[in-house]
Amino acid sequence: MAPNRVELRQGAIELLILKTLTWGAQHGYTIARWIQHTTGDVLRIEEGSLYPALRRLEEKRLVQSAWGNSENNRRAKFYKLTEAGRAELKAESAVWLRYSEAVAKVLRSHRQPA
Amino acid sequence: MTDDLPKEPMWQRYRRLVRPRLNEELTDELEFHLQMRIEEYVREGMTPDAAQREAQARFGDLESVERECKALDRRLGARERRTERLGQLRLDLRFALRGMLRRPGFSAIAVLTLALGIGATTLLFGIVNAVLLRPLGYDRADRAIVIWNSFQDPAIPKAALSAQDAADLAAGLRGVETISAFTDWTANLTGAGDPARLQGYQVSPSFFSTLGVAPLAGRFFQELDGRVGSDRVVVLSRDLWRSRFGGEPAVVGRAIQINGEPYTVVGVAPEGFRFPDAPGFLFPEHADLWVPHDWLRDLSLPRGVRMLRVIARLPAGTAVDQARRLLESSAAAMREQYPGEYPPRSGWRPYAVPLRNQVLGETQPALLVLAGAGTLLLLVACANVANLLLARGSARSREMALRGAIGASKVRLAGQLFTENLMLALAGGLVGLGVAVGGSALVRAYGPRSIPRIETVSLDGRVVAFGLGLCIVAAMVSGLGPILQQGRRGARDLLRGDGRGVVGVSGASLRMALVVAEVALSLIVLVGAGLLVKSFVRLQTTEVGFAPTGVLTAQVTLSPAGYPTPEAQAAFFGALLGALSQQPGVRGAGGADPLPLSGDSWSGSFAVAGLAPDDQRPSAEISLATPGLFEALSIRMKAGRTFGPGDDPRSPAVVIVDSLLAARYWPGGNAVGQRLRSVGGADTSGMEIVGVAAHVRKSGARDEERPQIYRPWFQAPRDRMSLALRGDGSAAQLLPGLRQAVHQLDPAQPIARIAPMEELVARATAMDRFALLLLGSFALAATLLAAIGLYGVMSYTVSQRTREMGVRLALGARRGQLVRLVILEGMKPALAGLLAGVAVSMAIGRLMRGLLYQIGAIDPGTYLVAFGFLGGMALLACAIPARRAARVDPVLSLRSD
Repeated sequence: MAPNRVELRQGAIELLILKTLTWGAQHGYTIARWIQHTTGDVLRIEEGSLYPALRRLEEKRLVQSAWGNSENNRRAKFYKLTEAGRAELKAESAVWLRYSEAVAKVLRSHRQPA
Repeated sequence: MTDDLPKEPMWQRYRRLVRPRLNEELTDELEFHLQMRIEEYVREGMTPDAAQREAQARFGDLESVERECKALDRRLGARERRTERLGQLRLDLRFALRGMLRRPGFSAIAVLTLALGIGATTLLFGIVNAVLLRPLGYDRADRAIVIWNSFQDPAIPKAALSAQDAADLAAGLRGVETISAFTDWTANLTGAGDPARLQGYQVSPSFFSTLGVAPLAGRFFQELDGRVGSDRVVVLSRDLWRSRFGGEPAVVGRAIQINGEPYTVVGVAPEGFRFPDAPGFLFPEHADLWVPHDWLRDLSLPRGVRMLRVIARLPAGTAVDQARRLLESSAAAMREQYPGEYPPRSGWRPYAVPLRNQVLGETQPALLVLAGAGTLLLLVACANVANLLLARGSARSREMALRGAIGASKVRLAGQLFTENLMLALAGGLVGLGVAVGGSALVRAYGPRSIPRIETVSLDGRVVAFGLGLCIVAAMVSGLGPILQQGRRGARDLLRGDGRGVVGVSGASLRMALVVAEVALSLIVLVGAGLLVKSFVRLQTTEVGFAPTGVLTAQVTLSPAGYPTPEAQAAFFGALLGALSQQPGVRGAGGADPLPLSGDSWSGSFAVAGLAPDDQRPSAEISLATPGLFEALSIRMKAGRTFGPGDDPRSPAVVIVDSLLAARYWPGGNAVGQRLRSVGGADTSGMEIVGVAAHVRKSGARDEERPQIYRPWFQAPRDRMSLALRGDGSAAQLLPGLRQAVHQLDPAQPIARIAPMEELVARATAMDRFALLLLGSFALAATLLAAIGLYGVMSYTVSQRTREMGVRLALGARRGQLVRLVILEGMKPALAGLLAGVAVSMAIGRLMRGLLYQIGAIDPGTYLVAFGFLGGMALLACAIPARRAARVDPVLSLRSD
């Protein structure tokens, strides 16, 4: 467990899920693991909170779900991006990136205010 | 990790199957997650216990996640079910539409049939809505009552009150909020465009507050208005204000010239308020303006002069019955106090009627009969469409069975059938609404004016909603049979291939039941129409006692300012009649008050000289007549002479009586030379009967046949005369001459009520014409539909039994026998329907009584004709398929499968 953890805002979880699903349909566990690996376990979310988030996405018609068999041949519920989800991801990630870059720029700045 | 969702094509179906186990799914999903995590930790080397703890820690609060997910799942599930139902409906609709378009002939017949029924019923509801249901403009109408006098003579159920009657009764009506009296008042308007003769009413100051209306501009009357010596003020109707004064608000406060006197306009009544505006008040014309007269304080006129209508408003919560009891006790006190004025033999009794009934009550029975006929037509139309659907249902039974076999539930199939019927009914309803819109325009234009508010008939929101409701009802009624039939049928039998054997039983009996209903309903409408036709013919052929063709009528009322004395009035009318009779083309010119069919009436008691005075006083219709009247109207004289120029105020008083009166008192035919002691209440020294005229039906064919008395107009001249001119050609040709003659005598003198006498005659039967036209067309439509329905059923039955016919022929049956067989089978339900229709018609016949003239509601001739006509149609409808059955080729029919 990494010592430096960042708390995640709610909307951010949904954005991360959408991003994860761009690689194809997945069940909840693989989504959790993918986020964990990609961030080097810095953004460690409470895994349980994924599931309400997935349902909220489904309600907004950004993802669809269906039951299927997992890689080790067990019954698992798979989630998949819809067209609307893909568009939402594109728009939201652009906003997010602009925002975080702007914040980062300020934080890294060495110039004194004029 | 998979690239896509598993088994994508099966998506929806898969989903539907698991839907009910939402909670279980949630547990499975979360369990799976924890399991995977634990396994991973174990692989990394943890003990299972530690792995489980660690996995749970990473997951967070399992319970709260579960709770949150459950709530979200419920919402999702509900939304999904909604979408699914909508999708189903869309599918049904698309399917129904495709079905309709695939069978355009069937659909067109069904749609048109329903359009006829829905259109007729909606139109009638539109009329009922406009006339009977919409609130009256006067918003306290439900608490307002009308008070009438009644006397022994049942021919005059509603008699006016005198000011003293009204004042005494009002004193006894404790708790009444307001009470007011009014009577008609002729107003000649000058100084604002052409001189015009307007209809005014002299009303108590509380008139408007009794009716609960508020002025559009200015004010209504105040307590002191209308007392002797108070200022002359007037309230205008909105129509008059708009047409004569341009709708200028500045008119309020200005003086206008009425009957040669200045009247200050104090207010304008709201739009549509023309009270009294219904024939129930015995005033033929709606109000143009109102002037105040405090009738209940002005007791100068004797008790016997009865010309007032009295209305009162009850306080909230007071029943009309309570007012009636108070009236009864006041009347008892009055009889005691004035035994000479209210003798027991007069049978005097005041009574109260709710205002709403007074205004609308008289049209209600006729409208309800028509609305009922419209509904019957709709039912016949539904039965017909039901029959069509049944026949088609048989053709589609295999399709339905197949759908059932692959999993559609009965409810689902019924839903689909209902959707199809609803589409048909809605299409029919749309066309029907079009029919109703056109019909209501016709009714507005040509509907009888004797029906109050007929000119406001329109399809408002309520009527359209009613029409749409009818569509749903029609869809259910006409679709019930096929749906029931569908439910009963076994899928296996149908799928086996030969569905025919199964179709027969339930379908056939349903169809026969429908034929019985259709024929019965049609007979009811047909009998109704037949009764109306017969009574209309009688109305038209009834001798009215005079010849209306080519007669022009008009009314002239002189203003008191210009012609203050009877001598001045007599001089004007004498000169006018003289000038008119000199005009080329005029063959007769006469005057009367009132004129037959004018809507005005004057009744009074009379006494025959030489008969005991305590005999109950008979009453008669009285009118004043000039010498030329009998010639102008071609009233036949049975004996004696007509009035002459010598019958003037200086000569002895004379009268002409009608043949009814003469026959009642002098059956020997020696009426001429006898005397009447009094006419119209005023005792005179006696009047000699100089002539006997034929009885004239003064209110048209429906006349009550009351005795009539004419007095010479010039022996009792007055300010008003109705003119009758007979020319060589049409009545309209006489109008320019009339205008010119009046103008030459007095350029400021208006002429009112210009109309050919034939128009007055037509007006008297307008309601009959209207009812006949509507009911007649309904009856024709219903009969036609019933015949089509019967034909459809019979030809379907025959086509289904081709094989049986073939067998019968092969076994030696003769073709004539087959024809008889089919006809007998078809006529059985038709006869049952006819008999049922006769029974129902006889049971409800009394509803028609008010519309009939000189025939009973159970008129055997009419029943016979309707029975025969409809029976003949039924026979024809059976005969055609029967002949087809007989032409069957046995060999071909046996091979046909």
